[in-house]
Amino acid sequence: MADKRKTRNDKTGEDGCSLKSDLPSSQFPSTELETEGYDCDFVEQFPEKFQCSICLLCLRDPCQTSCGHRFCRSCILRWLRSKGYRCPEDQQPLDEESVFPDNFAKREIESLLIRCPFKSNGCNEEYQLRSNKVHMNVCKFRLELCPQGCGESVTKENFEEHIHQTCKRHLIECKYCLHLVERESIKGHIKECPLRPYPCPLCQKLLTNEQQLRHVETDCQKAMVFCMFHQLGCDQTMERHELALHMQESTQKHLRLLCTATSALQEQVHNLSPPGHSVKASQPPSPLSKLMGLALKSPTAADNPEYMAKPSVSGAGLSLPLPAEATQQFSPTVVELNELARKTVRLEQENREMQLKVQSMSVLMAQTQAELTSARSQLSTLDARCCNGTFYWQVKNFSTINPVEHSSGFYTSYHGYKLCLRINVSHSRAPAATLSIFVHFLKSENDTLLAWPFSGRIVFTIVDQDDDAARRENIVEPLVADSKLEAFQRPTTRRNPKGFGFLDLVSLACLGTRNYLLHDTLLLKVTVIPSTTA
Amino acid sequence: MANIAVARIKREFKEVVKSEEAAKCAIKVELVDNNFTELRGEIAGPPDTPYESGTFILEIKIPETYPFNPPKVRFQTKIWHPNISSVTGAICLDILRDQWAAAMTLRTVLLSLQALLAAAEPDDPQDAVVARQFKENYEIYVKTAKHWSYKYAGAPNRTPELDSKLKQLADMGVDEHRARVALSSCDWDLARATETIFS
Repeated sequence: MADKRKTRNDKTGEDGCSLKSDLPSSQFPSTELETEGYDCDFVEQFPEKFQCSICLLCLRDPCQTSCGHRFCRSCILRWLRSKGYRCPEDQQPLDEESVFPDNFAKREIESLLIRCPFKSNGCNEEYQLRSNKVHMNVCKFRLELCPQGCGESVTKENFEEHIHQTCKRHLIECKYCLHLVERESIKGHIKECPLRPYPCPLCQKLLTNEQQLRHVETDCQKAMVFCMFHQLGCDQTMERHELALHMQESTQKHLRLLCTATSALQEQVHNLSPPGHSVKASQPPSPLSKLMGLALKSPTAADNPEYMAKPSVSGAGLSLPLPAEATQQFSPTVVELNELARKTVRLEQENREMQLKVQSMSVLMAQTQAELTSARSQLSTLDARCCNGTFYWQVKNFSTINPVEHSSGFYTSYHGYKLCLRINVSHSRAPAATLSIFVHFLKSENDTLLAWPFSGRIVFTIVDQDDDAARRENIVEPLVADSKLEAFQRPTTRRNPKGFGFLDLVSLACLGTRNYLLHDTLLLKVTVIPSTTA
Repeated sequence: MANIAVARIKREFKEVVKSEEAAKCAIKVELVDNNFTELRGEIAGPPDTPYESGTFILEIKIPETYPFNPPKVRFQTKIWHPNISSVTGAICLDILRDQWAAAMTLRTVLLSLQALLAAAEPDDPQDAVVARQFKENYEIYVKTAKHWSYKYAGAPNRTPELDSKLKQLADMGVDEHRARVALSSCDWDLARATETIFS
């Protein structure tokens, strides 16, 4: 490996003259201690006195020891540092301080004439060793390693040409798959490129290998194919593009073949059906035998024009894999069973469809219900808002109501206060029992617009539901809001727990009189009038 | 291998080939592989020694740190010498160990080995058996060394009297080299050698 490297360096000229220290750009950056002497092509063999006895090359940066021997600076330092302090020539003790630069020798060595390391490429220059660096920069024959790593060395002049024409590492686009492939492998790649088209041997159409696999079978126009009626006896073969013409021209022939085949098939089916059960034309065909006629194509069914019109109805679908005798013996049952099975399937299918329908209906229903509920609540809200402070409450089934009942909410105006009514009835304390009535403020979206505490008047009315308006005697009890009471503060819960009203508005005994209770229904009216400043 | 080692070995190789000694067929080197890490050396047995007329093959391995470290040298040809192992061919020579100097070359190494054949140093032995024989029974050592040179290094047979003993052992079915080692180690005392082999 090391040797190869060396050889390559020789070619490139980076190291052609072992002038590494002159060329710091060398791909093998050398430390001081790894640079041996000059390995140049000297015009005349350099005198032995200039040979380093360590590297056996011409001294580079020559040094002389106190014992009088010359070495390359790096060679002697490396020796001293690695092998102890003695002279390699005479084994005398020696240390680094006794090694001195020999500039006289250096000057003489650098004046020695050398040949360009690229002589073999045609450079005939000879120059002094010290000019090597200058020459390397201008030498037209100097080879450099191809940067693409193909291992070739080329002169600067030929570099472009090398890259585009010979470098085996240069990437070339495959004309089929457009992948970039090294020149070295492109030929092999093109041979094996999965997208390389080849002419179809029959129709010459260009296709990739993968396409060719199915091409002949499915769409090559030149491929020989059988007539589509081959199985029915048309033994003509032709190229695929002629097939259409053949089909057209031989329609009559094909129909004949079809006819023959159909009769043969009928014959076969007939042989399968039980002789005892062949339906006689004179008998009125029972539903079962009708079915059999259709299913098994018994020859008597030929009377049936419908059957004739539909020769494509195949009996094969119904024939069961039973031995011939068994088929003969059991076929009515088999046919019945088949029919039943079919019916079952049909019914199941219908059933399933129905179920689905019902499901979708109930979903729809639920949706409608929800919509209705929301519409109703909207409506009641609207009602409550539009009552303008006058709210009627029909308390039905009064005699059996709970001791405490709340009405729905209502608003004093569209953007006004929201309230509800509460009645307390203590039927248990009858006859001393009384009806209590209160208003409660409810939390609403209007609260932020309104003045708190509420101030204004509240009028409770128990309506006399007499048919004759003239005879009606309503019980009317007005009240003025006392803003100090908690009942008139802005509600902090859904409904202010404190209410305001009459603990004993009227005795239940009194309610029993006149028409206050009509059909056990009490009609209450409340009018809430906020003071105009609110 | 570092560049310096290769460059040097190439030059040394030329040096040996062009040297006077090579001309006289006293030393020789050949390449074993193309990257100069392994060489095959040859030295002629020096005249007036038991090794005279023998040709001894050396295995030379060049370390990457050459010439800052000595080459690794070993005799491939079997040899009977106090400073060379009769079993492995390992050499005990100071310049191949601590006394190595970078100015030494393949040529000087080969010449030093030749000199070692001419002047053994039994007090610094590699092969204790040979060294003992050298010191205690020099004549037998000379004979043995001559016999080994004849058998392994192509020298003429100058000790035909030893062949009969070898043959006796060979007749007993003993491998020839084994017999030779046993006899050589037992100063050619057949009885002792037999005992060594069969005990």
